Amino acid sequence: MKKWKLALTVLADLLLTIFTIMAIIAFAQSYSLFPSPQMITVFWQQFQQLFWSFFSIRDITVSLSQWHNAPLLSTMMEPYAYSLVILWGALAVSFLIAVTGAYICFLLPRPLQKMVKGIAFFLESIPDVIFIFSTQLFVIWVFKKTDLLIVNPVAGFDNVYVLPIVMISILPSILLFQMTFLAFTEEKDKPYVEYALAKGLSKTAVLWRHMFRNALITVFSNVQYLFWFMLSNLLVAEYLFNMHGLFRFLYEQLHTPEVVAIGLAMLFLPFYLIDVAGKRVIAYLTGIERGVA
Amino acid sequence: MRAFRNVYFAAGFIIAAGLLLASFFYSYWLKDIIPQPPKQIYNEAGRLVDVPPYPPSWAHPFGVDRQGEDVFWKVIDGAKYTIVTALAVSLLRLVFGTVGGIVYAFYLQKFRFIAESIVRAFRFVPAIFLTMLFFAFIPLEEQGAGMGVLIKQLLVLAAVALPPLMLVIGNDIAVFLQNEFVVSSRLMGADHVWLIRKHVLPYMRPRLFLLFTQQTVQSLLLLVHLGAFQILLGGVKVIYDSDGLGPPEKVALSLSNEWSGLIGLSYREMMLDQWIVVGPCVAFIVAIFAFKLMGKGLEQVIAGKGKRKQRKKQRSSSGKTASFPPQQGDFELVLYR
Repeated sequence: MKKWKLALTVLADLLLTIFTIMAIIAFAQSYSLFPSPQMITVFWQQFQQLFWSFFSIRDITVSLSQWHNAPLLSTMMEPYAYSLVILWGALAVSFLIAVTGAYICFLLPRPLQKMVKGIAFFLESIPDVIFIFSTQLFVIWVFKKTDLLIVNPVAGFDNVYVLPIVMISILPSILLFQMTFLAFTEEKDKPYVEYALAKGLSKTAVLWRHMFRNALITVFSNVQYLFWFMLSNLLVAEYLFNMHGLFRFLYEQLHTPEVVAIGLAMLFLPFYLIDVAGKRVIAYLTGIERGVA
Repeated sequence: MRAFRNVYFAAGFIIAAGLLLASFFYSYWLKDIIPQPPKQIYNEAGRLVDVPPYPPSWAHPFGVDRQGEDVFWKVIDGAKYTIVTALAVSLLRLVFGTVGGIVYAFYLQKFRFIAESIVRAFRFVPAIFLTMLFFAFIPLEEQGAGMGVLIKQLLVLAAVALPPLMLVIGNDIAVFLQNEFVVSSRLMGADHVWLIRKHVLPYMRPRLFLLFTQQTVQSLLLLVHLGAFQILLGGVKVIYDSDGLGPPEKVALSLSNEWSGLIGLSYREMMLDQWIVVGPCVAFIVAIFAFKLMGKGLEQVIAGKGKRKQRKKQRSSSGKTASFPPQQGDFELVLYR
């Protein structure tokens, strides 16, 4: 009974979100008629059209060039898979960087900690676009100086993985670093830590065995914000680096609303399910589900 | 006003206000005084050694661009457009967000489930992508450039982040309304207008200031993105530029020296003369940093960190040795208002 209810809420949630995406797109199309009442009829027509297009998903074609049309699903699969790989890679990399960074920083003496926090605060105010600009410049500068091309900064036709993953994971990992560090500092003052230290456990042991686990829960529950931030990074990176990912594909098809709606819905689906699963895991870990806490 | 005593807030405010003032100062007064960079540079022997664009030097810290204009002063000139746009957008967001948040907190709590999934859609799709969707369907060239287009664009910029903001404010208010003093006020017959005026708004005021700085940072980020995707505010002026070879090229010019326009239009300079793009980028970083500092300062003021000194003083006054039996001087007259 309870499981059914959960499945139902998840489904309703999912459908509502996808409906909203469709509504936004329909609204965007009718927006140019803004003050006139005509807008509402156009909006409603577009919305219906988008809605039905989800049922005839196999028949939709996209125009790749003036003379070449191809079915949507087969064309979209490749950039979709590419974008997903990069996103997951970047998520994993930024987790690694942030957690190790916070761990090391936590063991540093206090003045150094303050300095690292200040630097992170400043780095956070660099917009992702400018960050990506400068990585591009940096790669070119290294190439000019040493004749060594670390990675091809403009992708062209073959799919590159390493540079984009590193690039779009750096700014999110700074964000995550700050969250993790905050979680650590909050955890530090709790009585169980004092007790463990008083019993004679070493600082690293307490940090690693006890605080880390608890802090991870706070971090995991914020992971969706991280993911949203990463999506916008990916969008910019795909545009500036000429990568053939999903966002680039959608950007080229911006004037065909059905394609945009389906693309966004497809991108949304796996991450929403992961988010739900993550929440269940956290609920289990914190013991809310088992009635412990 | 207490915020100005906070170091972070004051520093951020000085940087942002300085940029704005310098910008107005420049375009109304300094513009005519500062000489244009030379059109050619000759060496001692009188031979031509360079024409614009020049790389950065002491005379021109951000370099000189292809049209022979000093990038530094261009950036200063554009500061007012960019910062005022960002401020206007975040003000719009905040006004509608507060109204929406109050309505949500008071009347729509039953529809929380629906509201959250709607907001999830807005958060999930990057703001810049939403903006592009809207702008893709606004026919810019046909309507020409002007206030009408600009206002429509500003509304879009405000609207793309509005639903999440409404939810944040609404949830904050909904939690606040569960306080005991609010509940008892309700029991004594206070209506919604009274609650909003006497409880919600005083509580929200400092938080709204904080949200304002945060939203300004968000709008500045959105403007950078607009620049990178070469979407210009207020429309574009298209001129045909011929270099004598081949057909004339279409070149879009921003109507002002607005920073995102400066970035977007000279994006292809990236591979040639980077400093033309680097100038506005630096300006963006400085502006965002300034507003972030202000936000951090406000956070500290709200958390009451600035009060530490007062508290210490109180403690030291209470710690003075009392005589036994107590004298009249040991007591203070305290007025409760």
